[in-house]
Amino acid sequence: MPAFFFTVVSLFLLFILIPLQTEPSEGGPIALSPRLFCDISGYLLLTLSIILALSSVREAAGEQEADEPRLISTDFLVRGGVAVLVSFLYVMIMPKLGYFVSTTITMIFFLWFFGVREIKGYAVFLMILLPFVYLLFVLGLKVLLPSGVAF
Amino acid sequence: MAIAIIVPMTFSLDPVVSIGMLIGAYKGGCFGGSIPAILLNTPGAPAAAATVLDGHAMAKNGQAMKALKVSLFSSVLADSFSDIVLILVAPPLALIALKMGPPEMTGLIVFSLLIITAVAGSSITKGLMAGVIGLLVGTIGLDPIMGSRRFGFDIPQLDEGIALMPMLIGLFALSEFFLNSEKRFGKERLHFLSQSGDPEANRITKAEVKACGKIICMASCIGTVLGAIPGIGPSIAAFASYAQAKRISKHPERFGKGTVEGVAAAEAGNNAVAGANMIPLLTLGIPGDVGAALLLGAFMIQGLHPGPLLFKNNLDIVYGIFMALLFANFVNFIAGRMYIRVANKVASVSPKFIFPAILLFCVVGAYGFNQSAFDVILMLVFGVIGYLLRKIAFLSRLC
Repeated sequence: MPAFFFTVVSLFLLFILIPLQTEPSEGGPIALSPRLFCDISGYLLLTLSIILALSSVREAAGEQEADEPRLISTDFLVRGGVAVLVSFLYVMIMPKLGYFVSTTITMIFFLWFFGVREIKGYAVFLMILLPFVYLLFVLGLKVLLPSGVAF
Repeated sequence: MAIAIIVPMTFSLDPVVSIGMLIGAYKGGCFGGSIPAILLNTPGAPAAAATVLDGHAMAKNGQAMKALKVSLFSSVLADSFSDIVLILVAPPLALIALKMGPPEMTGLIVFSLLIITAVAGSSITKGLMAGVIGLLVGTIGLDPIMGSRRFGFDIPQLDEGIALMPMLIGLFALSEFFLNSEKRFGKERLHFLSQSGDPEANRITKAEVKACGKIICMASCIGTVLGAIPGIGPSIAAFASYAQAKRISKHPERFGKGTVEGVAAAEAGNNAVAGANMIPLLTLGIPGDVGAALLLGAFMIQGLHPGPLLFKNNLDIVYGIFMALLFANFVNFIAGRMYIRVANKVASVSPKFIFPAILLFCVVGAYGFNQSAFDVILMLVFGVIGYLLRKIAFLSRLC
């Protein structure tokens, strides 16, 4: 599966992304072309993907009946997906709500997500880490964290 | 991961202070990995895997404190030895490197790419593919010769290329958060081992000091030699030292059942890599492992470029870093001596709290570097890439 994925990615790179996102050589020496290293890397990735696919086929032929784990588990799709999605939402709402408000909301969610059920756990976590970030980054290192509509 | 999280806290500091702080975290992390290895049978870092063999067996016999003390002494002694070797070897090596011309530099770059084969793990093809993906990421931004955009996507922030620190934080720290988000942490409490009431069980005897001394010397040499070779990580050094110690020990049958010699060999071998790893980094600009790669990023944040020119242009900083290395060992010893008394309690902090805190520090760290929301998005993107790449590598048998 990774071999198939990388073959598709390298083909997409070589035939769509590189022609769209890099300029071709305009008559000058090929060594000066901005596209040269992108093309070399793309072809290398394609070659290696094919080698990986071939070696995978060889391996699979040797161990047909092996008790293999599932590639896409429910935990990967659900829990991993939710963690990625909420992290992106966190970053998106940060400029609007401000760093501390958005962090408080996200941390409450992730504490619940990881299994914290006692109110005391949430309170101690937030009362230790948020002042620590404020003291170190805002007061100590003078980092201007996003303020948004709230603090 | 500790270095990735700490780097953003250092960007406003003086170069020597900043690098010194990260070196302290690097050394502390090398020793710290042995604490959960001994107490919980779970290595805190991959390099501490060899420590589990005898360290946890000792803890089960009520000798946890003795195992932790042996681990601390061996770590600090081996680390100091490799730092002294670094101080002696690095300047002459840099002098040789200064005489290198373009052909030698090309050879060096090819050599650094070949290191991929050493760190690739079970599949060299996958290692090479990861290297090629790295090269592709390196092409993002303005072309250095013609000045035209490559993979710009009309995003001006990408013109200068991918910022190193958000990428490293994403790949190494955030991907760990995503990986662990799949796990369900239950209500079960970690089981800790009680200490023996016998003072002898917690004290290192003269006979043990004598037995460990020879092994620490041997393991320090093995760790230093292996650590100076880029790509050979501390795990290999720890297991190589452990195997050699078993061979030269008068009681090889005790290995794996809880002997101080096993702990000393594993920890000395593992920690000797920390200083030796800096030899290729400082003299040639080649990071030997992930920790050294993060230190390379920290050097670049400070406007310094590790390599022979560092010795020519910033000799004062280089010697400052040497002093920081030695001082870090002293602090590591003092802090470790105090920490092992309370390690049982600190190690019991549940992962339910640790992983949300990792996300918090990743975000504030990536933002704080340039005070840019784009860097946070970049970190998230690389976090997802790192997560998926780890998943694929873990399930490689299915491909």
